[in-house]
Amino acid sequence: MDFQFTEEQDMLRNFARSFMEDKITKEYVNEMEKDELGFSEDVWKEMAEMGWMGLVFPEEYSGQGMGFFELAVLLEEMGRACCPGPFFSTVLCGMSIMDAGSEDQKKEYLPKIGDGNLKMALALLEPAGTLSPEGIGAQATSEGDDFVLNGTKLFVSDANAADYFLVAAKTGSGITMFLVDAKSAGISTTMLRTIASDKQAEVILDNVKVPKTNVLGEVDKGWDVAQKIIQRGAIGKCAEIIGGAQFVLEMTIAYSKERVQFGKPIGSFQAVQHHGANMATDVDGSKFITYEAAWLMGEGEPCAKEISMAKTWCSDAYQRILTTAHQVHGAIGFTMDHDLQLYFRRGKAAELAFGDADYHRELIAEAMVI
Amino acid sequence: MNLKFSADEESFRQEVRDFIKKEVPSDFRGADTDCQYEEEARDDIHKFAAEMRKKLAAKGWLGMTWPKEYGGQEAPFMYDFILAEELNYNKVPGRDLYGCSIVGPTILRIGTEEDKKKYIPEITKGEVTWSEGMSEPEAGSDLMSMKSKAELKGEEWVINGEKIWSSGAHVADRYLLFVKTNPEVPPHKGISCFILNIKDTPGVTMQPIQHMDGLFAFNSVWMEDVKVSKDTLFGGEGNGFKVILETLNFERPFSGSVMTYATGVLNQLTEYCKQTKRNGKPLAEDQVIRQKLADCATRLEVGRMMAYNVVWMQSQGLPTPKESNMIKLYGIESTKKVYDTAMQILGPYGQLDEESKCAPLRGEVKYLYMRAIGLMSAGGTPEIMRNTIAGAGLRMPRG
Repeated sequence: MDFQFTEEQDMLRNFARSFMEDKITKEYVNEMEKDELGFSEDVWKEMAEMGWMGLVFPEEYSGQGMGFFELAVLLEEMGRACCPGPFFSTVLCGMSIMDAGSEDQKKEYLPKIGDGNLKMALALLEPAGTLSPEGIGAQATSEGDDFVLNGTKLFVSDANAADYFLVAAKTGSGITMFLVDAKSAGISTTMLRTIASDKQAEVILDNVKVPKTNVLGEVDKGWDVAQKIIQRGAIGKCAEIIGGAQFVLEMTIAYSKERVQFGKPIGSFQAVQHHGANMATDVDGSKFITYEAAWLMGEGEPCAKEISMAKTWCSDAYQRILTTAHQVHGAIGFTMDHDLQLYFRRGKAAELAFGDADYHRELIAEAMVI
Repeated sequence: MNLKFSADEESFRQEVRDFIKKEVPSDFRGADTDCQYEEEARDDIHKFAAEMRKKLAAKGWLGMTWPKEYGGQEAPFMYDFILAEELNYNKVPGRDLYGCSIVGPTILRIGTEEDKKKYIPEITKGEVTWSEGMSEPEAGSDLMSMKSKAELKGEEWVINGEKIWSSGAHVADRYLLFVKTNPEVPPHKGISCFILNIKDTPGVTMQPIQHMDGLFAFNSVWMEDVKVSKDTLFGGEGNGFKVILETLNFERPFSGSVMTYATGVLNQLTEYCKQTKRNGKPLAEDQVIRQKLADCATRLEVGRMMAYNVVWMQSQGLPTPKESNMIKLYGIESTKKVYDTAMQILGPYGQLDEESKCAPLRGEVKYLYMRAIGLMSAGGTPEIMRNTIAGAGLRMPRG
């Protein structure tokens, strides 16, 4: 057992951190919350030029050929910086194409994603709100060379920027995944106003024609693809969470050293020291369970239980970390001018994405008792 | 980054499992491997522990990571932790926590050549067990305020004082004792460490203390004009504080292996929930119980990875002031959570001990629920752990 990061991973992390510190400043993050697109196309292009979008795609599809763990390292840095934009959505969908796509589909989509010329969004959840085949009500009916899709998708991250959606819909006896051109007739997108000021939308599909060649994977067997997305999504979110959590810890300890009350830095008071210790313990716990799950996933090892454990733990731990950070910061941390609010709001969104703690605890229980 | 055990590590783990299967009767009820609680309750368990100690020694597994010249195997660091995990999971006594995980490593790090030759081989041979004399009735978390003292009179040190909470002292052979040798200097400079042959030293008396769960593990130890030779001084005069820090540093990751015991209990609890019906339905189908079991499993898995990280860091010679204290804190708190949860799920049946009719899980949960309270304070209270994480770990300002 070896907890040493490889040289490649360290380099990626260091590079990503410098990039984030330089380009993804807190001014930028705040500005993009109010921006209609929500991210800068210039920054997006720069990321693409560094090969980040295609980080885990095979080299034959213009990717970097790295593994899931390396992607997790990158996502951790993005989480640390609160980096906005459709990177995660796009890469997640891209990985599904990599897994389940036909040769033609891989050749068609992966290089474009890698070059930064194609953005994608996952349209999975519906008003029912459950991450299960039973929660999919959207229908896809076969009509000649097309499927016709009808239904409503909710909480679609980055719908506003997407060129393509990856949509889960009911067909015959199961679920099928579809690659849907965002410019198709019959799609209407309404942006939602969210706690994290991120770009989530309601997407209504009204008789949307999708060529049968755009089925991803097999008809009726799409839930397997969806499940993998949920797992990757969950770990990706954990990676973002641990990046954010570490930054919040650093910010809080730094503040406790500068803020003087009763003639002393507040970090010298035992109650505050205990907050620091609790936060640090939660950060470390979250890191190591996430690394375990991400590493197993990268190695292609079975890890459904570890993924659920990581998402459960990070979801709950981050809430504790953020609440405690706010306690230490007092009123100033509550203001919009302060950086802590960026993490608090995103922390809740991350907790809720790809299954919250209760959802994943049920999956763990299934793994334990069945 | 490689978060799986290597083929060699897995193979060693299997070897330990095979050993346990061979040497431990299948109906052995299990004993707490750390603090000898159960040993005091039953002579037969204590006898079994002594037998197991010899068998573990014969395999070369006591102090297995230590230099060969002192009886070790120079095995990789992680092997010792794997051994501790397997013994804990299967509740097998015999590996003396104090000798193998605390005092032994300390002596190897800061002892003289003479100390190493004198004290290490007997640990690896399973010939001795150790106990520690640190806390006093008036000096717990404020250990530095200890009053027990040693005065140099001619060629001997004369020790007077009282220690409390010395686990297993009444069955131990060697005693790592901390006393004041210089009251004139700041406390952390005026403490020295002595190694006593506690069974044979005149002037030493002790009394086991019964704790809440009815068992006896701790002791009060009185020293009245105990005369010891100069060569019992360990680590140099006035360096007692440094020795204390070393022992605590080594002890703490092994608190991580305490979680493996809880893993075993959780597995038994899960099985119980599958087999037991309430209101016509197995407990394992109840949503609330499922959430609780999953929460416990998650806590233990998180702790397991944190513990491996500490072991790995220490194997690399990296300092772990934050991580060591964190794993002790986390280990105890997550273990307590598991036992509290077990108590909750068992409901009124959780009250029953094994002598009772109808006791589930052999009545162990009743003891564990109480034991967790004792474990909270042993080796440092959660508050002190947090102080140390904040101070030595996070460098937060001093008060």
